[in-house]
Amino acid sequence: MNFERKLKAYAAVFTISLKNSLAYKHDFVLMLVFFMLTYLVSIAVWLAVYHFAGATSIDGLSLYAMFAYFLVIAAVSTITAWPSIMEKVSKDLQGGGIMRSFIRPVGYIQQLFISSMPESIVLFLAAMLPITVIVIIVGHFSVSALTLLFFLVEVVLAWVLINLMGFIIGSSAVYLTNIYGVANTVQWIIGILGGAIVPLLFFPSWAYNLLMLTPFALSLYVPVGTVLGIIQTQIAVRSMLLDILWIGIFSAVSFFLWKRAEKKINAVGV
Amino acid sequence: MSNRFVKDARFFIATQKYKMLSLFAYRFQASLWFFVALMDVLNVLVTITVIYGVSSGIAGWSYAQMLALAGFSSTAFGILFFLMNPFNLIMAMRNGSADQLFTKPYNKIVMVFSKYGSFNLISLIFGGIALLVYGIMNTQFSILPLIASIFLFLLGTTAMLMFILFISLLSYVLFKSGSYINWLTGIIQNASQYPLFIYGSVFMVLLTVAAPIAIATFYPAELIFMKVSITTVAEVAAATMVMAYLFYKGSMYLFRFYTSGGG
Repeated sequence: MNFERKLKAYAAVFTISLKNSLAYKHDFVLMLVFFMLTYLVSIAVWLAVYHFAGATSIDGLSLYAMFAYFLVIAAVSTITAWPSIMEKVSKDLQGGGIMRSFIRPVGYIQQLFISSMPESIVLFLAAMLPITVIVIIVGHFSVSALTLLFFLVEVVLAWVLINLMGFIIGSSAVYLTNIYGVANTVQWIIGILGGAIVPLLFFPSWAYNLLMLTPFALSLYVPVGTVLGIIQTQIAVRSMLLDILWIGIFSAVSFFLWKRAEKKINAVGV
Repeated sequence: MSNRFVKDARFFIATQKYKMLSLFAYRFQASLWFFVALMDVLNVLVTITVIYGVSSGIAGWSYAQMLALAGFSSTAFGILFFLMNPFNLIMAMRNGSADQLFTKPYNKIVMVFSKYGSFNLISLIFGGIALLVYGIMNTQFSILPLIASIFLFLLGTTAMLMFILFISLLSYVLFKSGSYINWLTGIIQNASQYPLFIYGSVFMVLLTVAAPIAIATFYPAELIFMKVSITTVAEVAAATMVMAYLFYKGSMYLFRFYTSGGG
């Protein structure tokens, strides 16, 4: 199949997924609102901590930066907290629906990634736009073009990383009856070691340095820290290279796991 | 009446035993689910530890006292989800499988608590109790306030259960959806792990009067550490009993709107 036809096929997958993700707008908006509300509790707690400490800065993080931190991490978490690919792979493997994918003119794994893109893009934009208004316009926060570019590249790399992790977890459905225990555990690990609960800056320096090498911090803390100026440019560049390294590692693991899973696939499910 | 109570209790125990055996059929998965349930406790432990590591924390509350408060909250919400996962209940009512609530010879509330809870959340209860015990043992406390606070906690948890049941049924009746009740409960749970005055007096009143969460979490913690007077506690307990009864009656009324066969 030539390149142009493949591209048209992928574009069709993208368009259908985009329409699906916007089918229930009311549900979509409410989900976003509740997701953001979760982080408002953290903001309120830290505002109280700063107030009672009588401090304008704790460990180099100002009150305003803390406020912006949780808002931006809420937006980034919409696409890096829970890989939607995972549920699809698990359902296809366990239900046998994967057989239909093999006869389609688009590769299964490519289809997975392309079909999960629209929802992620819409969620991220829907969360990021109001937060940008609040943080930049209301808070007079400024971001250079280079920082913004780094942030967007890091978010894209984080999305790929998280979905590769999701693919690995989803593929393990051939061995597990239910992947949600593993998935929720991984999600918690990403949250706590990625800085969604507490900024990694507050961890001991040895823990901070170690976590900055892991895919968890690269998925959440690094993009947020880059755009808010908490992370220096050279660390941001190093993190992007680490991202690429981790993507390579997870791609290799995914390939290996998928080859083993393919042997167990059948039309009635595993 | 005592026969009815014994019959309902036996049914509840039998269903919990069944759920436990079902969960442990796959041991690795069961262990993961128990760990997943403990995540809330671990999150709040890390957060409070970091807060008190980098600052003086919340005024009037020591590290151990904060852990005790978080312990009350985790235990209360652990009991809530152990007995009733709102999403499971509403989905059952949506697809019509809740018919058995009305056809079996047991109390409807007992049926709900027997069928629609998540057994693995028992680890959240134990985790909460561990936090609570650790917090109490590392502060000064007296026995009488401790006993009174446990009584207030049980009363508050009952009122909170009735409240969550009421809003779940209301969500079914008004929106035919339970998607957001679990989100909302999660947000309230997060909020209740910290002293409620940090959210302002409006929210504190809301979480005491409109939604009896404070009565299960904040006031028992305040009582143990003598941060609140006995008179206030007595008033709160009386109000709680009234609210629990009203939410119970409201829930019984809302059950009438259930449509068998799904919808």
